[in-house]
This record gives sequence, C-alpha cells and structure tokens, in this order.
Amino acid sequence: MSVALAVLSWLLVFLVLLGAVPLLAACYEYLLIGVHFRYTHYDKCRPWFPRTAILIAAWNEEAVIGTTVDRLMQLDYPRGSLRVVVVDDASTDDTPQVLAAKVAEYPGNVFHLRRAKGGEGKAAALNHGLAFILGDDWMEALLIADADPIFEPVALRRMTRHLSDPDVGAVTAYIKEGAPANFLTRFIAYEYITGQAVARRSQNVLGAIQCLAGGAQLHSRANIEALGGKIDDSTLAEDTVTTIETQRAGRRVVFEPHAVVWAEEPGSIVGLWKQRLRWGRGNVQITLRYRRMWFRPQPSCGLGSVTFGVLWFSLLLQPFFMIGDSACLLALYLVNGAVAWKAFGILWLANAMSFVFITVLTLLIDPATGRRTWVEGFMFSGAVNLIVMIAAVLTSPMYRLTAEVLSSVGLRVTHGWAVGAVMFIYAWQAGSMALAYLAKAIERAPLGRILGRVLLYTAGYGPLMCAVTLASLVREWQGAEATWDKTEKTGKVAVPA
Amino acid sequence: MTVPRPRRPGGPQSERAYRTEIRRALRYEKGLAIKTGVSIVLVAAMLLMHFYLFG
Repeated sequence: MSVALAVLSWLLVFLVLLGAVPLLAACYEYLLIGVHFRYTHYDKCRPWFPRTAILIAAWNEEAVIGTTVDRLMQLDYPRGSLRVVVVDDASTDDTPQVLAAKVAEYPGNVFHLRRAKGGEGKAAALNHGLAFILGDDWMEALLIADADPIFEPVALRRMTRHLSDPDVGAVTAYIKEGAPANFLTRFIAYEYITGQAVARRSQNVLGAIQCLAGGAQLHSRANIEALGGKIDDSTLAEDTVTTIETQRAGRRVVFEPHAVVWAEEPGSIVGLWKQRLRWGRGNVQITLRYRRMWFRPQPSCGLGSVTFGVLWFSLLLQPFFMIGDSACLLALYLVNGAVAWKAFGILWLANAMSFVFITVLTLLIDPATGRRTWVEGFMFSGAVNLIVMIAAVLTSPMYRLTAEVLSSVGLRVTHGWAVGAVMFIYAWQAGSMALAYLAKAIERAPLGRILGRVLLYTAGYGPLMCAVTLASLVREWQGAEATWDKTEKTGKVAVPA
Repeated sequence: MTVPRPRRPGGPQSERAYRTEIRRALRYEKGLAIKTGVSIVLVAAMLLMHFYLFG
C-alpha cells in the first residue's frame, strides 16, 4: 500500500511540475529574441516600391473608413504605386456615401466595390476584392488591412522592402493597441508586446510565423496567385490558414517589427471575449486541420518543429495545465500534505522567476508602451497570483509579515483555517479562470463595469484568456455554429503621445 | 542622428536614408540581446536572494 502511495505521490508531483511547461515555453520564446538580430531578413532587402493594392473589407464602417482612406493616401509611399480597394460588404449605414466621396477625392487611387449581399464573413468580402484586383496585372503586392488601423507613414515601405527577395511570400507588421486608454485596453496593449513584438520575433528565429496580422499583412502577387487567388473561408482563422499555406509551399513569411500599425481593440470585457472566442475557435480548427503537421519537421519551414509545436500547444492547452495543476495539488495534499507543499513551492518559485523575466523584458522591449501599461503588466496574472509569487520568493519575510498582521488584528491561525487557506491556494489556478469568467459575466449588470474591473485585477488578464481558450475548445467540441462577430469600432484609434 | 527624409513625401526612399534606417533597426535588435541579458541577471539575483536570504 505504501509503495502504491509513494508511486502515486511521485506521479502527482510530476503532473504538478508539468504545469510549469507553458511558462517555461514562454521563457524560451523570450530568450530567442536575444538572438533575433542574427535572424533578421535585412541582408536580403533593398528599397522596393512595388505597385501595391490595399484591400479592405468594410461593413458599417462609416465612423472610420473615410479617415482610414485619407491616412493610407498619406503613406510615405509613391502615390502612383498605391491603390486602395474597399469592399463594402452590403453596409446599411453611410459607408457607401463616405466611400463615394473618397473615390472622387482620390481618382485612380481609391476604388469602391459594393456587395449586394453581405454577412458571409470577412474572407468572402476579401475574395470579392481579390477577384477585382487580380483582374489586371497592375498589382505587384497586396496589403490586406482592416478598416480602422493607423499605419505609421513609413510602415508600408518597411514591409515592401522584404518583397525584394523573391523567396518571401508575405510580410506582417507590428500591431499595437491604439484605442482610448481604459484598464482593458492597457492590458491588451501590454499583451500585444508579448504576442506581437516578442512572439513574432521568436518565430522569425524559428523560421515559422504563426499568423499574419489580419489587419496588416502584405503578400507578393506570386504568393496570392499560388494560394489560388483567394482567401480560405472554411475556418474562423483565415489569416492563419494563409500564413501556414504560404510557408508550407516554401515561401518565407517575415515579421517586420519596425513597421508599426495602431489598431483599435475592444474596450469591454464582453467585446474582448467575443473577439477572442472567435480567434480561439479558429485556432482549434487550425489545430485539427493541420493535425498531420504538428511535431513533424517540414522541409520548407519550421512549422513542424518540436519547439513550434510545444509553443502552439502550450497556449492551446494552457487551461488544462491550470486545471490539472489545481486538481493534482489537491489530490497530492490528500496523499501527502508535506510533499504537496514542497511541490507547490517549487512550482511557484518557477512561476515567479518566469514572471519576473517575462515582465521585465516585456517592459524593456517596448518602453513607450511599457510606461503606460506597467501596472497591467504586473497585474497580468492577477493580484492573488502576484501575492503567491512574492511569497514564493520572499518566503520567510512573508511568513513573518502574515503572522504579525494576524496577531495585530487578534486572529489565531487554527488548524481549520490553515487547511482552508492551503486548499484555496491550491485550487486558485483553476479558480482564477472561473473568477475571470465571472468578470465577463457580470459586466453588463448594474455596477458590472466596476465589479468586473475589480474581479479582473484580482483574477488576472492571463486567466481570462485561458478561460476564453477553454470556452472555444468547448464550443468547437459542441460543434456550435461558427459566426462572424464583428468587433465594434468607434474610430477613436490614435497614436498615444 | 535623424533619418534623412525622402526626396519628397511619398517619393522613393534614397539609398542613404534606407541604409540609416536599417542600421537603426539592427542596433535596436542588438539592444534586445543586452536587455535579455539584464533580465536574466535580475532573475539570477532573485534566485540567490531566495536561497540565501529569504528562502
């Protein structure tokens, strides 16, 4: 019996420590950016200004589309080599009138295509525009953009220079959050440093780009034609399909970190949930669609490498790592409380070290964004997790402090209290996802915005993203209908001062 | 150092301006290696602090 318990203990310890895999994978991703300078594509670039068609799918974008067209026409790029093609996806607002005015203002540069029947998704609208653009041989490069982002004036020419290398099929830009600041957009701005500036640089190093930014992806004509002259519309992640197909066909995809595009992201937890649920379901569809690609090295790119597979599945399966950690710690507590405490300490020391490394480096990578989002950076994992990590590093002072605080308010720690506290903290990883979900669920109730904000800072933005991932896995498993929920845009995107 | 402007707004970029821009970008990327090193040193210091002072 004791041998069986010992084996079970070790198995549970192993499973608990397995929970550190996603963070360790993230640390590896961060380490790779230290060598990114050796893997840039600049040695094969030269100034290059191909005739570029900018393709925008627009549905009810009257608030933003006029300004977007004006800004695109002001890009630091030869005007004669620039066309903007806007596909109006049967808008019911004043989008057609706004676009008609822009066509008159920029004759020969701006084109307005209107679909009689809309609502079939972004890919369908883009394909309508692609058929028009590929109808003659003017276009040499295609930039697929959203209706609202601000391209910094030099962004396009910093992207097109990579296409001077015929081996490059597509280029993606650094998307930054540019909506009016509230607590949520600051979290997103911080997240985009990790998801764009860090992840895409590391993917440059690995030779495998995960996804071209939907709002700023540049393709060579050859690449678009090789993709069949249309965007895949069979999944919710058409950008990722395009990215993977490009690389599997042997054409390189490059992330250009110095081409910056400012985009508006959701300002409410509910809006963010809808957007990320769509992205998450798209990722599940991609995982299944390319099931024969993972962990099988490809001759043409790094998408099948073990490293890329671990990074992909660490994100996709992170909710299970968190739930598994809590479940295994609680089980281990019942089997051997002392070992559970030791395993918990090791796991959280690793978590704390990873957190410090990732947070400090994130703030250093993009200091301008870091200055306005550092609070959200430190609260990314939530207040409770932050306290646990501080306790994991400063163990003895935190014990003393807790004892002093409790005695100063006249509380004595009984055995029951201690057990309750330990159980709570073991269950917190899974509980934080539930609390983050609650932040979304109550947002539209009275006082919901304030309460939701408090809950989000307590549970953490990271656990909210894990909760969305879990929800997307469940929705896909249920075979729920895949609908295109457009992210609401206010047109107030701006480059922060 | 300022980046030389193109001959006219929207005009093709001069070779000199292009070279300057690439040099700047590479300098920034090399700076990331130093920043990564600084972050690793900080983590190492925290580990030492944990094991020798506050563990």
